[in-house]
Amino acid sequence: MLDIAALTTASGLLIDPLTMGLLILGIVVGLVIGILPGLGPPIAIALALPFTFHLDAVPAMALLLGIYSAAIYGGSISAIAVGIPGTGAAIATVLDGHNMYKSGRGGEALGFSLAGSIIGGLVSALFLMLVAPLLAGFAVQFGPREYLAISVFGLAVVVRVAGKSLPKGLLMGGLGIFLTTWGLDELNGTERYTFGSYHLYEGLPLVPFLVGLFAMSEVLIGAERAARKVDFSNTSLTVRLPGLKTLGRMKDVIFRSSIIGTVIGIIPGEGAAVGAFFAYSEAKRRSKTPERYGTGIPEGIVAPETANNATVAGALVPTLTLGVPGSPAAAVLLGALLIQGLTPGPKLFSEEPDLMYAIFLGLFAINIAMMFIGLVAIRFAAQLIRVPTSVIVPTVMLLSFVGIYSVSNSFFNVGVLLSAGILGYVIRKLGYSMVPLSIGFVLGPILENSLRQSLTIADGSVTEFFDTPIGLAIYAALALTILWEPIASRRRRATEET
Amino acid sequence: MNVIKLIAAGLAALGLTGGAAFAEWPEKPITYIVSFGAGGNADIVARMNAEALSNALGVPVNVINKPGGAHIPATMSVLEAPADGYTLFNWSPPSFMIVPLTRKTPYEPLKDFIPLYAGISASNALYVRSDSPYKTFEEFIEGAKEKKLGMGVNNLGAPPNLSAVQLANEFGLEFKTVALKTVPATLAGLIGGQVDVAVGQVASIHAYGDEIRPLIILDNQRKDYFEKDLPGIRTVGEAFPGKNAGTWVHGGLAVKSGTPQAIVDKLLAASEFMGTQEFISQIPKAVSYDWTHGVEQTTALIQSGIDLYSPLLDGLGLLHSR
Repeated sequence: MLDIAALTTASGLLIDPLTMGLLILGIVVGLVIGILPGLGPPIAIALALPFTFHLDAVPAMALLLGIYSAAIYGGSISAIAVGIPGTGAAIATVLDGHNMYKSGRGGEALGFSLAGSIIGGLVSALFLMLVAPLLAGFAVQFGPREYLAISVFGLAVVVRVAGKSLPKGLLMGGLGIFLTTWGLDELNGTERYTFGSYHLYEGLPLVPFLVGLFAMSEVLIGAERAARKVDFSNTSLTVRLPGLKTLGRMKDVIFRSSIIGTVIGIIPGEGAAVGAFFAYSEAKRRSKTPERYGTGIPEGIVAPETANNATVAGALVPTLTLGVPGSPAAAVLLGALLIQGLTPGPKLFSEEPDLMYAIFLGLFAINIAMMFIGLVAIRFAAQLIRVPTSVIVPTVMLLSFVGIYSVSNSFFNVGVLLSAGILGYVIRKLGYSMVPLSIGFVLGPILENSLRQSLTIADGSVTEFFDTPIGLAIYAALALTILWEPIASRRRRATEET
Repeated sequence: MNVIKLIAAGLAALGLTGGAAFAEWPEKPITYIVSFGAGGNADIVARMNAEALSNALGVPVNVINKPGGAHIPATMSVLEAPADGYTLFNWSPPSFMIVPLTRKTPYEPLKDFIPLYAGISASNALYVRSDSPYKTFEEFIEGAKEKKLGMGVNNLGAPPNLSAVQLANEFGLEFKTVALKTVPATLAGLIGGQVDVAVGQVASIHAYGDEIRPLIILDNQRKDYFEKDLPGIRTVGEAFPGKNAGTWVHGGLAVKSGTPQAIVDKLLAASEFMGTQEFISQIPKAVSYDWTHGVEQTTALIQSGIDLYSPLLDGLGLLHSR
C-alpha cells in the first residue's frame, strides 16, 4: 500500500530548510496560542493562513500542521498548571492534571501530558499513512443516523464524568444541551431564546462560553479564598518525562486512546474535545480503580492528551479525501489547500501522492520536534507554581478577555464570557460539576441536527430510521457498556451461590 | 515651523481639513468582515480580495470571520462601525438576498450598503452517485415520480434548496429534503448513500469527479464557465424550453451607505485588479468567478437576484412581507 517513490519525493520536499524552519515556527506559535485560553487551533491556523498565500503547498502545510498539533497540546499546559483549559480539547485534562499539579507533582503531570500528546500524534500519523484511503471509505459512511448514534453514545460519557452525584451530573449535561438550543433554528430559521437580540441568532458562542465557564469561575473562586496555598516541594519543579517502564504499564490506555482519538477525528465535525472526553471516560470505565480518576492520576492525563492529539491525523482523513473537514481546525486547513489550487476530494490522493506523503511524514516530524520544544515550554510552566494563584489566574483571565475580543471584535462575546463565568461560579458553589455541562454544550448541536436530519431521512419509517449498520453497532456497544456491569455481577453472584 | 505645517494650520483654521482627511484614506489597517467561517470557498476568495486590496492600498486589510446567526451579526457589525471606509463587508447571497427576503432584518441591503463589485459566483447542478440507476436526467425524472427520493441540499432556503424546489415545481416531483450544511458535505452524503440525489455546484465536479455523475445544470442560460467544468451537460433551459431554472449566486464587496465618494472611488480603483486574468487564474478550480465592477452595475445585478428569488420564495410561503 505504501508508495515508496512518493515517499522518497515527499521526504525530499520536507527536508528543505525553509519547510523545516516553518514547521518549528508553527510549533512555537501553536504552543503559545494553545496555552492562552480563548485562542484555539482554528483561530491559530486562520491567523497564519494569509502567510501561506506565497508558500508552496508542502511548506504551507508544515507551518499549519505544526500550529494545529502544538495548539492542541498547548492547551493542556494551562489546564494542568492553572486549572484553566487553554482549548476545549484540554477540558478533560483539567480533572486529573490540575489535581496532580496541586498535589506537588506538577513537573510529572506536565511530562505525562507531553508524552501522551506525542505518542497519540505519532500513532495516529502512522495509521493515517498506512490506511488513509481505506479510512476515507469509512468516513463517507457517516451520515445523520450515524452521528446520532455517536452523540447518544457521547452523552453516556456524561454519566461517567458526572462527579460525585449522578443526578447533579445529568442535570448539568441537560443544561448544556438546553443552552445549545438558543439561537436560530438551523433547519427552519425559527428564533429560539434570542430575547429579541440578533446577537443571539448565532446562539451562545462556544469558545467564550467554555472559557468563561472554566476561567472566569476559577477567578471568582480564587478571589474568595484570597491566596490559595499550594503545597510544593522542589521535586514538583523538575520536569520529568515518564520512563518507558511507566508508559509500558499504561500501554493499554495509550493504545486505546490513540485509536479513539483517530476514529473521532475521522468522523467529520467531531473535534479534539470530543475525542479527549471519550478516551477519558473509556479509560475510567476500563480501570480497576475508576474512583481514583479525577484525583490526579497519570492515566487521567495520558488518556485525554493522547486522544486529542490523535484527532489531528484522524481529522485530516475526511478533509483530504472528501473535502469535508474532520474538525473546526481542519476546516481552515482545507481552505489553505484550496488556496494552493488543490482540490481536496477523492481524487487528491491519486493526483498528489507526494503532497499526501509529505503531510504524513510532516506529522511525524512535527511530533518529534514538539517533544523538544514542549520540554522547554513546560520547564517554564512548572515554575509557574511559584507565582501566587492570585497573580496568575487574573493574568490568564485578562489574556482571555483580550483573546476573545480580538478574535471576534465583539463585545457581546465578552459579555458571554462574563455571564458564563458567573454561571460556572454558581455551579461550582452548589457542588455541581462543569464537565458534564461542557460535554452537553459540545454535543448538543450535533445531537439535535442529526436527530432531525435522521427523522427526515426516515420519513416516518422506524426501520429506515435504524437502517444503519454502523449506527446499530454503536448502539449495541453502548448497550453493552451499560449492561456489562450488572450482567457480570449477577453471574458472579450466581457462581458464588452454586 | 516649516511651510507645510503653516499651511496645514491655516487650513485647519479655515475648517478645510475635513476633505483633506478623506484624501489621506487609508492611513490605518482596514477590517474586512466575512460572514462565513474560515476555510470555505467564500472565505478564500474574500481573503484573496483582501490581499489584492491591501497591495493596492498599501495598508493591511484584515479578514475577520463572523459566521452564523443567519449572517445578521456579521452584517450588523459593519453597519455599527462608522462609514469611514475602514470596515468593508463581503456581501453574499444569504446576507444580501435570502435572509432579507425571508425574515425581518435590522437592515436593508441596497439602502444601507453601497455594493462595489461582484466576483465569486456559482451555478447549481444536479448530481447522483456514479453507480446510481439514473444515467440521464430523464431517467431520474421517471424514478423520482415512482418513489420519493432523498434530496441533499446544503441549507434550507439557500440557493441549492431553491433550485431543488424549482425543479420539483416545474416537473411535478416531491423529495425528502435533507439539509447537510455545506456543499462538500452534501456531496459526501450523496457518495455515502445518505441521499439519492443532490444539488451541488457546477464546479464541484473537480473534487468528486469519478464518484458523482452530473445529470443537468440547474440554470436557464449557458454561462461561459459551464463548459470548463461540465462539458456537454445541458442546462434545464436548453433541454426543456419553457421550464424555469434560475440560479443567482454572487458575492463581492460593499461598504456602508454614507461612505464618502472619494473612498468609494479609491476602493473601486484598488479592486480593478480582481477583474484581470492574472487574478482570476489564481482562483481555486472549484470556485466559479463572474466579474461585475461598479456601483450601478453591481446594484443592478443584486436587483436581478431579488427579482428572481422573490416569486420563488413567495411560492414557498417564505417571502417576508415588509
